Amino acid sequence: MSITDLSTELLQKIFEYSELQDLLHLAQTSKRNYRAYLGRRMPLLEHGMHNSYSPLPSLLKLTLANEPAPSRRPIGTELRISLLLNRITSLPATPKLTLENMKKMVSYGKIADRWTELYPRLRWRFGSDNRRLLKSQEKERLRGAVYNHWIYTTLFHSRTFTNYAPDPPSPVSLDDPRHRFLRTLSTVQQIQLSEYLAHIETLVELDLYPSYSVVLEQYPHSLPHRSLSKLGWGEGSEYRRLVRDIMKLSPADLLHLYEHTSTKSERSDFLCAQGVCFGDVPATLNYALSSITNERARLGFGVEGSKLRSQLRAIQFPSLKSAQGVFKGEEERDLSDEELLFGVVELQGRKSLEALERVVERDGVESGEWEAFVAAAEM
Amino acid sequence: MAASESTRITLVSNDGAEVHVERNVAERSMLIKNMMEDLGEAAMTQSVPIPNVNESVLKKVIEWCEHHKNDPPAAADDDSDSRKKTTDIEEWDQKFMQVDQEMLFEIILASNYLDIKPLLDVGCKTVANMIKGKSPEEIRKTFNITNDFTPEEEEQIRRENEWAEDR
Repeated sequence: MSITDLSTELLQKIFEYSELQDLLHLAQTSKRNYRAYLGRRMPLLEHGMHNSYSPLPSLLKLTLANEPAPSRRPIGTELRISLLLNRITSLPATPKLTLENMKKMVSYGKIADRWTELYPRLRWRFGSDNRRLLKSQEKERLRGAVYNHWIYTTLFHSRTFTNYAPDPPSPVSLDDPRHRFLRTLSTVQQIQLSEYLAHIETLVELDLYPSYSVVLEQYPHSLPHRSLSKLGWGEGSEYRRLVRDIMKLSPADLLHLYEHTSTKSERSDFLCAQGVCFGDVPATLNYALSSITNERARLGFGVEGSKLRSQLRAIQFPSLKSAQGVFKGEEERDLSDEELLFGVVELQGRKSLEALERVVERDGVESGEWEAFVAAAEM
Repeated sequence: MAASESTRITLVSNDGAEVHVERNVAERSMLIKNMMEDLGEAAMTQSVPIPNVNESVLKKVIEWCEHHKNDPPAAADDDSDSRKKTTDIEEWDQKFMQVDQEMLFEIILASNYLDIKPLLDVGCKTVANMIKGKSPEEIRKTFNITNDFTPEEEEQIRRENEWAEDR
């Protein structure tokens, strides 16, 4: 009895549970296995994509956000972003994938996959005793946060867009495209995006672009100023401005910095090549997220019933608490579990909040328009 | 029916061994469950032949059913629900599946024949985990698969699938 004795139907079932690369490797082993794969090629590829890189709808949106506009005519930034946003938000919840799209999606998916490997080191940075690999559902949540972050940086942290709109969106602007995009995310997606954002800010502040005080922490004896300036990136408000600039980088850029740079000059060169260090234009995601979460909080997250309302405390956005930087120098501890009940990692208390989670995991607004949002909240 | 919980029935494997088992445990198998409903009272008194499964595999399958007898019935699991599927296997099942390949594929065949979908899923996931991160050549070695492609054919297929490779 061996794998070669299984029926085509059972072989296909094994294919269904395989990750994309494994599926294709198994298909390449023999003519019979290849035929079994060809027999259901597109559905199996979609399963493989799902097993490796889900959530696929967000991944497809990211892929489309990076496509050049279909129209050749030069159009203004406002109109272009608005068209792109309409195109992304009008995708059905379960989009049909073409082979061409899958091929493009894989390159983004692989970056997200690397983040799932790196994440335990960020999530349990100080409490390394708790550190463990992510489970498949946790990986899916994290990849979703990476995709959503990446969509945002593609659309709104690009040079073209920051030239057009250098300031964060005004909290009262209802139809700012940045607000419209974030409104399409469910509250749970926003929480996980916020968690990811908090972690990458820490990554920037402690590992990639440390301030003088962070560098000094690592050296028990004082450091001559010359060495300090070779390692650190400044202090005070000037340093904060730098961090806000750097936070415009995409998940791919941040991963590159983490994996392939080690010296200050390499990191400095990278920033300059991105044009980040010249603009002094801040990242806007956290501002926009703050406005949108306030908007939802005012409407009680559309939650009915006093029992569920009493659980709203569980809805917390880690990145919104760090206006002065995540790292304050004095205490070294990870984000507390209470702040992350709907976060990436499965926690004990989550089960008891299942009813609330069911509401806030699907409260995204299709088009992201303010009117549609209010209508949905009043339903 | 509380009474039926302790009712024991007798299964007979294809090598003639009688296996006694609680009815509700055996009914994790949709095949047996349907048979019981068709046979009615007669099923209590006469033994039920399982012609496609031998004794050792049948016992192993029943061990799984025993452990999972109180699981909630699987939600209607059609393809639309595939998005909720994960490749994680719970710990007990992982240990349960630490068997040689011969037995692993026997369990997959038996659970398919007996129509025990959750066990079939665990079996297929286990195989999927065994190929994780392996090259085609390593997979062939693991499962003793003969490569019947010509080098040209193999190269063509490899190139066709290059887009999914690491770099």
